[in-house]
Amino acid sequence: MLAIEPDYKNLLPPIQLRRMSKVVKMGIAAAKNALLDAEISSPDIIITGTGYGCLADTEAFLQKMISQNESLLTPTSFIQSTHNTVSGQIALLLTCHGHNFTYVQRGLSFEFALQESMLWLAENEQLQVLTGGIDEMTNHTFDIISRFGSYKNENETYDTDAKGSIAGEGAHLFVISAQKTERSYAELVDLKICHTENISSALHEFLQQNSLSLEDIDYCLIGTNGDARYDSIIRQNMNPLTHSTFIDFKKWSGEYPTASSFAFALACNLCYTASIPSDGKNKDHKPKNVLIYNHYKNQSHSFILLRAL
Amino acid sequence: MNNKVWICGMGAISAIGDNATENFESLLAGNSGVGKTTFLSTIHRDSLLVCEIKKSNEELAGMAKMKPNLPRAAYLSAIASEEALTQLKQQIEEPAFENLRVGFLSGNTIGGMDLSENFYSDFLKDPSSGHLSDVVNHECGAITELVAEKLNVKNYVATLSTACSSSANAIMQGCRLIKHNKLDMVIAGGTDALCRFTLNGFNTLMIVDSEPCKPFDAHRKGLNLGEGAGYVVLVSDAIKKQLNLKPIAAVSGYANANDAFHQTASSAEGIGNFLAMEQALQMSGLAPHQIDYINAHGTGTANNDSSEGIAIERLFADHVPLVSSTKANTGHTLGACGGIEAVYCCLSLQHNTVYPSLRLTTPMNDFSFEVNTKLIQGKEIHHVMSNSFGFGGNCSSLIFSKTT
Repeated sequence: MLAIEPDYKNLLPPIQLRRMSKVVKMGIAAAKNALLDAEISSPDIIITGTGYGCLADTEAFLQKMISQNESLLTPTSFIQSTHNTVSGQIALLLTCHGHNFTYVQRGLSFEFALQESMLWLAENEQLQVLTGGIDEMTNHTFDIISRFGSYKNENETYDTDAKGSIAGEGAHLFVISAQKTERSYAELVDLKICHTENISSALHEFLQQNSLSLEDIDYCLIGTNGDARYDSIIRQNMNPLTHSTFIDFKKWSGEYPTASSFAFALACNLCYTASIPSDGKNKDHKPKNVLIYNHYKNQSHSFILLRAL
Repeated sequence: MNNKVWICGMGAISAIGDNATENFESLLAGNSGVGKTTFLSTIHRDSLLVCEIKKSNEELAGMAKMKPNLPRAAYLSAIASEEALTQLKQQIEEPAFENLRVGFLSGNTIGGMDLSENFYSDFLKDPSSGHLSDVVNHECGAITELVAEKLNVKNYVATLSTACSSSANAIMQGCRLIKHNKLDMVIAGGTDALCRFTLNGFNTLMIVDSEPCKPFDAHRKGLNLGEGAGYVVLVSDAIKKQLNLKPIAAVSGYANANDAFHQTASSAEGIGNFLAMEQALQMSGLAPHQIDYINAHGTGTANNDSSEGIAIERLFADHVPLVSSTKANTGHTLGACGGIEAVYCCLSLQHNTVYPSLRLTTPMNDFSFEVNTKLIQGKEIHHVMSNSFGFGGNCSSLIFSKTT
């Protein structure tokens, strides 16, 4: 599943656009939209996560380096290949001199970015933090990951009962702050990264820490990715949530390291408009508490809790 | 929030030594690791000098006690982080360690690229060829996970990748997590190994010196790439007291700022460099004249050394401390340099030593202070600043202080 890209012409001058890879363009477009939506011109700090980094530029330089035997190389793709290119480019575009971090921790890259953002807001309530997750997919990376058996065959869909997920990509950025405004979508209540094997008990603990019971979770955006090897385990982990409506968000986003940032956008909209835009169906009631439960290869797990305002 | 963070362990490996002690002895002796590559296979072997650790991957795997065929950066990371953690563990009983909330935070820019390069040359000929074992640990995060498993750290395992400031940022973030009482202890620093990707990349930017680099020299021609890893063990004040630990140093200030000028070049006046140093100083509560030594980023490129020097002079004015770069010794170790140089700063405080900038013969005109070229011992060193600046305008500054 490839990202649906906007018309970048309205966002950036053509000369800059030509040089930018998809991941940078997506990241900048998402950043601009988030700032516009929040009605601020620039954040104070920028903290992003990316599992893969700038794949297209990395591969372009690697390919030329090998095929041209380390000769006659040009720097453009190399200088855009570093993992912090997107956050750096956003800072450059906005002349934002503030703190600027990029996490690269596989399926937890967005979660770590979000966690640090929350620490900053706990330190200083006046800050506006631009945070999010950004990943692109390329043909070469798709081919390589396919060889590990991670993706389904071409004729199979998300719903096909087979091993493998559907590859995805995307950029989702958010302005988060400690101040509630008319523009606020939802309250980010808490986040937990789990390395334990007993996810159900981690869920109990997480809700308890936030003075919630299982019945309080109206919606659970669950990271089932269509991979028959994991989906039943992942669903089972959330069995205690008997009152919740489950939404398989990777049906729409596909699987990628920062797919939870897509779920985060979805959850924000759900809290704000009581609807899931991707299927157009209006839910009958405005949710109160929305839980995002994501996993990556069943090795790392995370909970993100949002609350409607 | 608890505001004290202590350093209770350190470890480093670079072209000038396999551990912190060897590194320090080399710094005292004025040794440089610069030379031709032995293990990195490149057509630039005779034209581009590097600071390579003179050990094969098999030897490093043995030292790290890890399985063979892992990325070189994982071995370097394991060796240095294990050294740092061992130093801490020597002070406490094992059960005391088991009960702590320990994190591993590592900076890294190229992950397992050294092996991915091998894979890719086969893959480009035929998409079904190339050993998958060469790319399974390609991601930066994979290197950190491999080493965390080795260190048996589970609570918090994360990677920061902000180019050449990656490991300085890992140390900074480790402090933040401790101050917020999220963790009791963090092994923080970074790792990077030489590979053709970065060597060729920096070469296209025409900032690699074909001779031994000479940071802060008027006739400097660029950097020499290096490789290595450096880590410190950060401990909260509560745990330091509870376990009666003897800290090596304290982290008294840190800041990250963005130059927001260009993807790879620094602004002429070093806006980001200045802001990072200024904010770190603010956090420490120290006056400019109280900083005794700045271990500069000082890569040896025309652009960096000029911007950094100008920013230092602007911030410190009449109180510019002793300034030197140790990159003439180690080369520019990219994602590892903040970690390695944090160890060098701790050693500077511990031994009241300021290192010389090697091969500096003609001072620059860009600023009026003189960069230190002599080994200085016996002068009391209370506070040391360490700078790391990277692509994407990413500028970081850390301040380390004596414990008393």
